[in-house]
Amino acid sequence: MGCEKIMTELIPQAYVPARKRRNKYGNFIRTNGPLLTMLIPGLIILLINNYIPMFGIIIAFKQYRFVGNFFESVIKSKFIGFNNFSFFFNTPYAYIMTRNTILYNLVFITLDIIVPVMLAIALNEIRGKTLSKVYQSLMFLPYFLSWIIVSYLAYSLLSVDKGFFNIGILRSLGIDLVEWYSEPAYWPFILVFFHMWKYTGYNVVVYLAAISGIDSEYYEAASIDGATKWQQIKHITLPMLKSLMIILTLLAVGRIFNADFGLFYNVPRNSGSLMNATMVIDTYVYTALMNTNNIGMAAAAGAYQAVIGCITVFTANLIVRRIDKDMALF
Amino acid sequence: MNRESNRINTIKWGSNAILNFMFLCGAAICILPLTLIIILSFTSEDSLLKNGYSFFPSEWSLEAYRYVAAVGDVIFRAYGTSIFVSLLGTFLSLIVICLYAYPLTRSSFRFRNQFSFIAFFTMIFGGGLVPWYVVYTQLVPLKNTIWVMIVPYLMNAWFMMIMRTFIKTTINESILESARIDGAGEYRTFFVIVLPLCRAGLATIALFCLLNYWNDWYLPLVFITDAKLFNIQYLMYQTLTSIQYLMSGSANFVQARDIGAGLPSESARMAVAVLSIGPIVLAFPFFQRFFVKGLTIGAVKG
Amino acid sequence: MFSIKKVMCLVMVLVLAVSCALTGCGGQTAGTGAESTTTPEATMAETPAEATAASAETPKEPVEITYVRVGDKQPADTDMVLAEVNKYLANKGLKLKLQVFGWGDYDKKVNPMLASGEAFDVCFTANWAANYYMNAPAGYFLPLNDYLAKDSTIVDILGKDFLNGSAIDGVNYAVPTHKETAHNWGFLLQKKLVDKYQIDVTKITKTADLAPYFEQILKGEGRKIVPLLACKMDTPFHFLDWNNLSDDNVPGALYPDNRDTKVIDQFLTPEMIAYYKEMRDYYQKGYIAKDNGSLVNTTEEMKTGKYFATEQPLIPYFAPRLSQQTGIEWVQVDITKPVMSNRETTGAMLAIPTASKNPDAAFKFITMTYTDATLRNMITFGLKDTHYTVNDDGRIKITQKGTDGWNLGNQWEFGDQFKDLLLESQPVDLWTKMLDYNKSAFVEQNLGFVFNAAPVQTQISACKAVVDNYYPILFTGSADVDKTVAKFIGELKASGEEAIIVEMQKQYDAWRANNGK
Repeated sequence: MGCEKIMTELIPQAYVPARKRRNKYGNFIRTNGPLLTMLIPGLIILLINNYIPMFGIIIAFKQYRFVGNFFESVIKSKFIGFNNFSFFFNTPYAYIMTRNTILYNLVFITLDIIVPVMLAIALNEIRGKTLSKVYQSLMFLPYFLSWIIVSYLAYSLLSVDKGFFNIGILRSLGIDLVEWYSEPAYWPFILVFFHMWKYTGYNVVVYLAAISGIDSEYYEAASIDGATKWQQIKHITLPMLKSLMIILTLLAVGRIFNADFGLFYNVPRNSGSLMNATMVIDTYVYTALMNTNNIGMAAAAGAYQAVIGCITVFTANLIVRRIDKDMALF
Repeated sequence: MNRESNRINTIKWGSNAILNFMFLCGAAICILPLTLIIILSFTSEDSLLKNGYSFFPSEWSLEAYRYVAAVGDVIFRAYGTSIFVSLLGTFLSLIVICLYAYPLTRSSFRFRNQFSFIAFFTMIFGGGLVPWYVVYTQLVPLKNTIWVMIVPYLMNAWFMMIMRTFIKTTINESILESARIDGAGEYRTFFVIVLPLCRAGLATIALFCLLNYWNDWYLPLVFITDAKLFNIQYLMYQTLTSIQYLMSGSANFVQARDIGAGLPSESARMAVAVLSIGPIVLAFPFFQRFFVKGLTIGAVKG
Repeated sequence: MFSIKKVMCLVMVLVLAVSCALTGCGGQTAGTGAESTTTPEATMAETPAEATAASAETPKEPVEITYVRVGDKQPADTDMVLAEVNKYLANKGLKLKLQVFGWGDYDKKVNPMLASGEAFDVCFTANWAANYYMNAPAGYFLPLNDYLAKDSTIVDILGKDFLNGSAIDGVNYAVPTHKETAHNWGFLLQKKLVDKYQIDVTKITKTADLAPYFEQILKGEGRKIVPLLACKMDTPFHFLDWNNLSDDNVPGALYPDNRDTKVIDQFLTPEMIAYYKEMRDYYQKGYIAKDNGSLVNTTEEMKTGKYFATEQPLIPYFAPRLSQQTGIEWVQVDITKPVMSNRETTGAMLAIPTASKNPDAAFKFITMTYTDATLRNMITFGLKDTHYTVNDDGRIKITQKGTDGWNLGNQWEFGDQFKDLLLESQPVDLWTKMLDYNKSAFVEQNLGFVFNAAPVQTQISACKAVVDNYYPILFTGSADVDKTVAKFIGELKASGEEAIIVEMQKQYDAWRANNGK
């Protein structure tokens, strides 16, 4: 591998030695020009869809009052500094919701890397490709069910007097019934389970696609050399998946202050006694701002989550850059 | 297929059995809920109210689907919209995403980090709902058109990052160098060499884009008020949230209680859920053949 | 180049000519229509300026106004019905475009429209939809005082007091519907159990009166029937009928009997503590089911037939409506007396968005919903003989086409409901009974006082979260009262409840001083 690299690097230089010095500008256009044009469609969409609306972030610092039209209103509304952000901090739940959001996300990030990778490798090794395809399709199914529907299903499992768990399992075993919707202790496990159930199939697809891109000759060569399955996985598969795993982790880390609203709002059925275990920033913001149409506070909420996410991902990206520049996000 | 070469490298039967068992359990957990929902959509409303959810309902009934049939042309049109938006959106999205991702993989491209950041930044920061709404209603007036359901998702930074990683790991820089030596420009290299090699990656991103468009109820919620343009997911979402809202007590007006009479029963809601999932589940196997290890062109030898 | 220029000029001239011709034609009919309406308006107008303004704005063709309201969904026969409606409205110079948003969607669609300044003309608003109390001060709705001063139709129908009930600092930003203007609370009991246990409903005046029957039913029916349903806030808590100054789950209320003007935290009063203890007692005796804390919707639970008693907001003839809807017969037992409070004044209103381009026409339309029965019945029920048929006694029956194609109903959303036709399922004297009910209501002292939440918005958000946490536990009696209340008090204090009460008292005292109460 190293030999090749030297060869390919030497050859172009041998081929065009003198040109490089004279046509620096032309060279720049020739290498970067077409590449820049390729970026144009994406940039236009990003501009319209994301960057122009970003100016609206100033609403987070104003008390929005409607005058004439939207632009006039934004300009003329009173500047109130960080007042719109205070509803995050002046609540006894500030600590709980922040802690819950971060902890759940950390668990999700970790599990979302480990479990799908393991399953993807396992799926790849199973004898019989049809069987493997069937498993993969079935695992994907939960992704299609909306969280509202899932909350109905969860209720049919966990309802105190009608639920499958209580009636079907606990009662027949003679154990005392559990009031699932009143005991916060079980819910971290329940919520993590549902998250994995819904998204694992989806994440497996990404890794499976990456594995299928690995040249089988590596494996053949390794097994001829006498490597066991585990060694092959450790030395071929995992390193090949490394960059994908790192990128996905970094992307997830950028959203560490954002929670899956559908999951945390619908599945616990907004039960008050479960708040300690199920309240996250997004559900708090939703209930606080529901029915108020205060776009200043709503913008503040988004800004708050974004800033924290930014800081976290920048730090993580910096660390990754130190280790291996190419693996980083940017 | 690589069956010949794989025979040397297959796992033991014992491990295979264990893995199979594990996957069977996993698959059961995944398919049982969906089966339950299908059964529920065929259960009578009485049976649901009195006995709750069950795999073996005391009374079967088609009333849920009769409700659906009564609004048949609405659902039909919603399917049409969903399919059109999904297909066109996926096609356009693939082009935009791949075109953006490719330059970021080229180490000779001076600005790859900057443009990566430009894309990534949009995943974290947003201006909020109202400014975004204003852009699509006043600056680029697309409200109540089919395009407003396509354009916002054309450039998805997350998918783009994955595509970038796929290209980077699959394509060896030396192939690109040899192409350059042969005189191919970047566009030519991209279309003739890179894309065909990244079939697995393309299929993955295409599938994700397709799902993104198919499952979307958020864009119609915000931008579509013309009932003729609703897509199937939004139709279902609207039904479910209306019921949720009316019964939640936030609607603290007396009449909320007897409005519920006009809304679909629980089994009808399940029927709508089944209908909204149906087509995409059937489309999934189509993409599958790209993920399972197929012919890989050994591009780099020795 | 030369010839192109000529062609362009020719085209422009043609275009101008055609458009003149068209507007000229349209102008004829609309012009006469406008003429005929300006005369009565001129007589009603107090200033001559109004008459000239009206004739100055005489539309060449009907002015299109967009009316946004909430309902099940956009009806299938919208185009058909609107065609007829617009034929009727044409000679008043109006053209109606109707946009119906679903219940779960309404806020999510209308709030961005208002905030971004999208132009539409008539907006349904209430304290629970496109929140009137939030949107009006933010400048999204036009003040209507001038319109109301010039045209007293609406003021006469509603009564100055009721109308002032929704004014914010003396400005009316929307006009409420004329419908039931009071509320009372009570029980709905399953009729078959009332008959079986021979319960004399006239003797029931409080929950405790039902307690012995709960016991009987628990013993008699075993597991099949749960005596008392406690879902969300639909519990006997409502019998204390707190006069809230803000939302139901925000601390800060007055005693409902106008005994004093002190603002208190209703959740911590001795009466409430006694109530929590009562519920706890019932829970322990088994009258309340164990999982009631996680129930989501009362009507669906009622449909199961598993519950004997449920607490509901009542109005005359409420029981027959619910019986029809749930498929189970209920008996209505009124517990509290009818009370007119701020809950009713902003229950359903129509506003004109500031961004509207045709506010005058919009107000004209709104006035018509109070006076014009033909218009109302078309919008509510659809087209006669297609969507509904009229019986001999004047009541109507909705046809199948009506149920499938129009089914708008919800006439309480706009105008004067009492002008509408009655369904055959409604008693003939429904409107008279309702009007009597309205007249008999006890008027709360703070009718018309609107609390401005802005200074304590943060504390309100925090307290709401705390209350939402604790009320399911306390209202269903599922935990020890003293311990839970102690925690509840602690968290409310930490959320700044004190500040809310103080601010409410301050604003209320100021309002009383300003209004000579």
